[in-house]
Amino acid sequence: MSARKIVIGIIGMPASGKGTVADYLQKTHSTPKLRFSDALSTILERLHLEKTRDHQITLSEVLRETCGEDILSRAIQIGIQKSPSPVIVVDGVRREGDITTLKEVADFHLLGVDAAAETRYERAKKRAEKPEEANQSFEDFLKLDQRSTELTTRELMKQASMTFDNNGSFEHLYEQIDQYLSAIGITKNEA
Amino acid sequence: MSSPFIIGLVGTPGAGKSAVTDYIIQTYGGSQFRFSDYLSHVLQKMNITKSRENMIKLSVILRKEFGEDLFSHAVASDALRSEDELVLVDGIRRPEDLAAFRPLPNFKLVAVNADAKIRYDRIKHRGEKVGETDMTWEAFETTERAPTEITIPEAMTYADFVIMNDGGVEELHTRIDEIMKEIGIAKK
Repeated sequence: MSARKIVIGIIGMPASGKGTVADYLQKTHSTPKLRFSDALSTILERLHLEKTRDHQITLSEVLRETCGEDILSRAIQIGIQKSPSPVIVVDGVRREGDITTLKEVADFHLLGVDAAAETRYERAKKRAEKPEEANQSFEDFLKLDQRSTELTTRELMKQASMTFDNNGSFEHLYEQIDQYLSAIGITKNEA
Repeated sequence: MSSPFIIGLVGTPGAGKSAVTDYIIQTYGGSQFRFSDYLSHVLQKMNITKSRENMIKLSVILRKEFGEDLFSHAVASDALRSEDELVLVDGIRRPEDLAAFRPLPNFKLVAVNADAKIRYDRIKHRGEKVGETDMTWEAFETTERAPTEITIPEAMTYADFVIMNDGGVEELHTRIDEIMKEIGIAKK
């Protein structure tokens, strides 16, 4: 009988540092990263639609409406089952349904990451991961926090086993991650 | 690299669109792009059953949210990037599907039609989809009025060429050759 996989779900408001946590885990623990938005990005590409956050949210709503609330969770379940790694990171957990579905296929840990709105806004501008991020105003950025996909995030973060404070430096964030992981028995790669 | 010549196909069920496409590709070369492939891809990516019902549901809501010409632009973008000299675009059903194609200088729309009774007989004999062999005339007429089919006559009014496919295979091929000659495409 094979051991159940471990899934680390990362939850946080836009530009709080979810990707940073996932990248760090990948580097130090070789955990592959899956995002609920992977399937959305591929579909937007095929439909020749710009991969803006707005389009991702709309497409996500379209898919949930036509194919059921847990559609993106199911797609990721399959991704988890197909992955050869025993520990997998899922970036961008947003709904109760996401958590339920991930718990169905793995030993699940919800980790939150948070930072002040102004800090997140500045970081979003710098990284410009999505086309519109470089030039948006603080007001527009805050509006995104109110979109359907983010409203549940704050509430759900309360369920996290641990929420990392990402208002400071990378080192400060990494220290917190290392501490938590060794506490739950997940070992680092050999140096 | 120059853009390919694009031939769009629109037609009523059982008129013989597949026969037209097959003959053109066999005789003139080229590749095919289908509107339905773009929907299939979405369903496949999300591991959703590719049922007719799901395809229609998804198509309606995607167009509502992203524009009625969503698929027109997606298909056109890919078709124009093709390395082939000739591209067939299949599955045009409504005027909005033509939005990205009509402005192109190297695009022609070909409508494929036939007498309703002839189309009905063909559908019954080919039994391509479940239930087609037993289809009654009334059921056939009802499908013609389905949301996905009812816009086809209007789309056909934009055609540059019409093929009335009431005869046999030879006649069909002759008519296709006529059209290709007029467009200026040589056999391969």
